Amino acid sequence: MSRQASISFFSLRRILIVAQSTVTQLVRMKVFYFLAPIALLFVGIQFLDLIWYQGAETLQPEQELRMHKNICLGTMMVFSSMFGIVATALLIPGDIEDRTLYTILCKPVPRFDYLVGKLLGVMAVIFIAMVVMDVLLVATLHFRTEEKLAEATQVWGKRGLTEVEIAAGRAEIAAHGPTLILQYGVMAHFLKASVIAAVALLISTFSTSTIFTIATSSMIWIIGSFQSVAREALFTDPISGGDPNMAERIMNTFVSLVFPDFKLFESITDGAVRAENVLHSDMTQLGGLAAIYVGIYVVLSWFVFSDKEF
Amino acid sequence: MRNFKTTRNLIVIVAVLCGTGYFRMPKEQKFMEDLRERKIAHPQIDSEIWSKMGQTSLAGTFGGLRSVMASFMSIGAFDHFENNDWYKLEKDFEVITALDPYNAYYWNTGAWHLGWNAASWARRNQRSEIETALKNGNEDFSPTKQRLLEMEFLEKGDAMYREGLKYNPASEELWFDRGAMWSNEYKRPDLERAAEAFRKLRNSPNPVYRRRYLLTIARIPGREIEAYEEMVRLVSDSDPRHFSTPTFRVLVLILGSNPELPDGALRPPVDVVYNNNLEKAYEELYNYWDRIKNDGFYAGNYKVLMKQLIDRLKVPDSLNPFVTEPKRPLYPSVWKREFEKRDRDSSAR
Repeated sequence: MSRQASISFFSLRRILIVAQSTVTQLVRMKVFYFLAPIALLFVGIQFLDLIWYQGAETLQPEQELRMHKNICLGTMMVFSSMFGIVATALLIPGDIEDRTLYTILCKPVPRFDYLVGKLLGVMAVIFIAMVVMDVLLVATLHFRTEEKLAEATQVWGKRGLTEVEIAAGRAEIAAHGPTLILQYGVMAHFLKASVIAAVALLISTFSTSTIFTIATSSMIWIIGSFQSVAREALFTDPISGGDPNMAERIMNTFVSLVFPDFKLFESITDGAVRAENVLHSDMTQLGGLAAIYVGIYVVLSWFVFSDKEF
Repeated sequence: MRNFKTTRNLIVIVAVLCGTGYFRMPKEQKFMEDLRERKIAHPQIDSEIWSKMGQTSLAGTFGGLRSVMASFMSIGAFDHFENNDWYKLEKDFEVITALDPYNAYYWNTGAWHLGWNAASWARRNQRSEIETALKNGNEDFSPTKQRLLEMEFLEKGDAMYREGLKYNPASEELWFDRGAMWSNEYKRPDLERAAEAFRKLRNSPNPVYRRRYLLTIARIPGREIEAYEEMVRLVSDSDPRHFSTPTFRVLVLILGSNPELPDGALRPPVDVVYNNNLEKAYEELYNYWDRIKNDGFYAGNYKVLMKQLIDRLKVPDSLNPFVTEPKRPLYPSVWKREFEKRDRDSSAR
């Protein structure tokens, strides 16, 4: 039996080693320095008055908390998605450039393990960054919520509201504070960033330049955000205008079939910001969907990468 | 060979994505419909709104930052308010509300800018134009034409409230502010429209909101019996806060004094409503005179109620609205002063 044949197709240990080295590689690129301005922003908005239309009669604490969450989660989404694209796009060309790839592939490391390890490494770094940002978000939001609760309780007390009414109002404000639903929103951003990273991985396997990978992945990110518009045109009646013609139908079908739907991920985050009733089952479905996307892109990446010559 | 490989790879990638997409697509659609039904996902943006979006908001929307863009745009739109640039403000709020339609705050702010601020601006503008026209002897000037601008903004504000209520029917602030706009004496009150909005708040946990329907229909001629029934309903609420409002206390008396009420209807006597504090009752009924004359509140048997109190309290003519036209509200200090003056005059005589 040849040595090649004795190597198992998939080894978790090998994948974890590649992932670990990817994390080290990215940390050496000083990616976590990005967190400093983000931390500044999160702490900075704590002191910003986010509401214009506010007076004694228009107390809007929920709205202020919503704006706080919107800005923080928006920043997290941009950071994680951008990072997913750029980090993944840099990895394979980087490995070729510094010849690490040859060292790895000449060892008994199947290309599939290498790709999965690389992706897992990127996802791990995104995850760590998300955790740090999440801690910052929860901390700043907690202080703001407490501040708003105290303010509102004082105003309602002066207005002569009963204790039951004050308790109901407080519960409404607290629902916009750091809750489990908010964590679902953060998780949805992480899942979206993972899918984007997998897309970038697929493109980087056949791309010849980093810029091409970054540009194409960014375009897919944008198209993915309105893929649902194309898909819904196939399933539902148009809101306005006439029925789509044949060319539009073909276009809509192509976009719906080929591109991922990022709107689903964004919807969960939007719902979480509004403190809507996002269910655990929604997260399970979203997680499943993200796993399917990542699975498909990884398998396709492996297909392209398996016979790539260096 | 390399080109062949690239082409083959691309064909395989597209084929696999299409194949898996075929199975994935209905599931995604179902998931999205479910999220949309539960108001977790935003509704689709109308094609008309796409064309009104600027480059930044468009990019933000495509990047999945709809709510964030709405937040930033709402802060930016404040500049239009400061510059009285109402049409730009309207356009901005159309986009903002399309980006985040389940946020009642944006509908409320947009409607407040248009229905309250822009309409007031138009009214002020109109007044200065009338003054200039009169000064210049311009006979062609039509105040009616000028009034159209104010009405235009009021209607725009109302339209924004109504549209917002389609997405946020449970928003008490939207119902309340719409009603407040149409019942505002400094605008162009349309009490029927105000009542239509306040009606939705009859069971609100907020007693201020709960009372507004009564306070509005008590001003609409022909709805006195309905107002009486509403008053009885609120009295049966047993919320002591209703009775801490002077207008509510007076309305209990006034609506109960309606001669058209059927026999056996609840007609709370003044001593019960005011807990035997007749001076307080007189003071508030005296002040209600202005409400009848200027705000169109129902008068009921006002004269009889007042005359009974005048006799019982031996009110001096200076505080009798049927003898001396009330010019300002009656405060306890004025009441005390006038009574002392009457006593002094009578002892001097």
